[in-house]
Amino acid sequence: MSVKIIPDRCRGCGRCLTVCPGDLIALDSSLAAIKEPELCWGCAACLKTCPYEAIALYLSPAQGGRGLKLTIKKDGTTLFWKATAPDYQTVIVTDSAKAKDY
Amino acid sequence: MTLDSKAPKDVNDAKPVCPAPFSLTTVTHRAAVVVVGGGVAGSRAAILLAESGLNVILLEKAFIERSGCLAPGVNALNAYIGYGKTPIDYVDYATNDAHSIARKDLLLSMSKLLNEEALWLESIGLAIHKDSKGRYLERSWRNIQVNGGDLKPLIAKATRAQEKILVLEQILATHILTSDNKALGVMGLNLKTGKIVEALAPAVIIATGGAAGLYRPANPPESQNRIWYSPFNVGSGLAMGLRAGAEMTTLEMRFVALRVADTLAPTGTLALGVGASQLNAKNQAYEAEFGHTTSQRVLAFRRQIQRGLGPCSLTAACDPESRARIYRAYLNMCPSQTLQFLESERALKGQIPDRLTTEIAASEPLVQGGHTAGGYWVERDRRTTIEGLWAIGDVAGGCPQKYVTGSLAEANIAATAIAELFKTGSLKSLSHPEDQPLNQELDPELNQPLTQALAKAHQEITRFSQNEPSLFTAKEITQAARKVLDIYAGGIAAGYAYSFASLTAAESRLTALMELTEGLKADSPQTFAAIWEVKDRLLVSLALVAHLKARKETRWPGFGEYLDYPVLDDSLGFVNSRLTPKGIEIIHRPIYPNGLKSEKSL
Repeated sequence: MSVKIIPDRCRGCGRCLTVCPGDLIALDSSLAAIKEPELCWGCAACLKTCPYEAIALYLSPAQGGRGLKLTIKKDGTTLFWKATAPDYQTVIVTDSAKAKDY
Repeated sequence: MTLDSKAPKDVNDAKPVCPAPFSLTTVTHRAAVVVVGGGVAGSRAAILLAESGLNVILLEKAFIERSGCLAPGVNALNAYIGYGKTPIDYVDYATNDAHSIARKDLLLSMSKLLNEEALWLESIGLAIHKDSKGRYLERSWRNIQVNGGDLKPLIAKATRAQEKILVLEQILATHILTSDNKALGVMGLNLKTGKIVEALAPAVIIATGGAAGLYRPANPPESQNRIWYSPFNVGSGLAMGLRAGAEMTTLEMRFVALRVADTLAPTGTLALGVGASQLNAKNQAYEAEFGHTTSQRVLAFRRQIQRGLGPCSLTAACDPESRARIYRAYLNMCPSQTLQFLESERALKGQIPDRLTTEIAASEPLVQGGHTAGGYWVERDRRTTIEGLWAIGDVAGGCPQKYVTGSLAEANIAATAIAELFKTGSLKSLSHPEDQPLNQELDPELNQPLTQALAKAHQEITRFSQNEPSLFTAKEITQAARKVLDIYAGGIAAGYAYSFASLTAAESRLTALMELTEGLKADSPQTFAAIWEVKDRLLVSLALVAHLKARKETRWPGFGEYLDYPVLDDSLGFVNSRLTPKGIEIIHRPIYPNGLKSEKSL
């Protein structure tokens, strides 16, 4: 209960398979699939690696989750973190090369 | 001892046949140094050794871009000597925080290198916040802000740039190969190919991190790994060391983390970032009721709950700019926390309050030497009690409060010591397997013991494939073990308290579970990994229980309360342990004046 693959965005490139610290992602019918969702740590390594915004982080009900999903659009060292729900949308920008943007 | 003429010329010829699911082939690598664990400590050690001209094999269970407890990133370096302070100040702070159970010699050697390692991180591309004079921006005298969401990929890039480092990924290390208390290398299993991997070298560094997932976690089964520490660090390094006969220290100093409720996100970002303070349900501040150490602050929180004054929160006045800064800071370390804040905002439909508040909770206990002091008993150069074996980072004991820079400092200390041993000829590098048969370059006396150690390790790995299909799974035994520790060894369910009788019950139940693991069947590298990891967890759990039993006092009441022994007993010293054929043997080591290992060691 942590990350979900968005099937119509996933292109099966397999990049996420090579960053998951728990080896929890596999290719299933040439798309990424989370093998054991309950073992996900929520580190977001896969979100940061996916070039297609095809992986969403969310909170389980036990963590106060109410359906908001977080995806990342990447542009070099800049990350656009998009939190979306049918009634809500916001974007937060971080840049790992810029120290002053804490 | 000389080689029998009929003995195989190379250890590669001596392989027992490995039945399915393991591959029939074994891959052997040789080098000067084998490093187990590609987190920050292991990677840094490998880089420094390679820079000194040595060939290094770096074994990693996942991929070094995002492995270890820094996979999500980090937004502060929590071990740093601020302006006007000295390494001695840090030693005093850490010793006091550990309620005196810490090694000042280890702390001092680490503290002297903290700032140097921060500079190294900046040199490989970490963005560190600076003030108008260009100095690192301090969050407190021992803590600086960084933009470290990609810290691990930066270190991985620096690691991969070294030609002398052979990075082997998706390798589950299973054995430290030893003979007569001397390390000869490491064995593991390639989780993708099923091939057994032998990494042979006269020097081995263990940098596998601490042990998470021993206790039943705070979150329910469907999000059981949403814990604070890396759930993929199962204590393998400690288990390998115990099996090899290494001495461990202070495992009983469990770390209970005071964290944001539900997400288990670190609280320092709020406490230091916007000056948030803890309030109970009656809006009373309570943090300093018992004192300022980590354990005392956890105790103050727990007492609020016990007195019916919970839930407790971290609360601060917060303008929109600071709020945005906190959201970004959490994205750099624990993205779930920003998501939790955004969920609250969403529920308020745009009515953003001028206070930032979040509930806090205590985590399940963990065993690690990065915040607390549980791990290998080491000398000042981080060598363990096994010749040729070093331990650094969260798996090394006696030196708490090391965090990122302290782990790097320990890598630096061990790598410097090892490089010196090669330089003086005390250690001799092994060559590439194709260049020379092993028995021609190995000390003749080591040939037969190595062959035996390899055969034994092979057998221990492959035996699980010969079992009949078993009634139980490794997962079920893992959950059972977590329940045992939770209830009988001071987990959340037991209010972090335990007694001699409850620990005895834990021992017998864990022993019974360990026996069950012998019947588990491996039919793929993955099922083998699950079996091996539950065995590792059970062994570390058994050692932990023996340590808890032996520290007959309540030294860190926030982390745990020994109900039979509520008061302090300064005569206990360090509680150390070793695995012997009879089980876990406890050794008490004195704490010399000033927390030294020996009277002259500082």
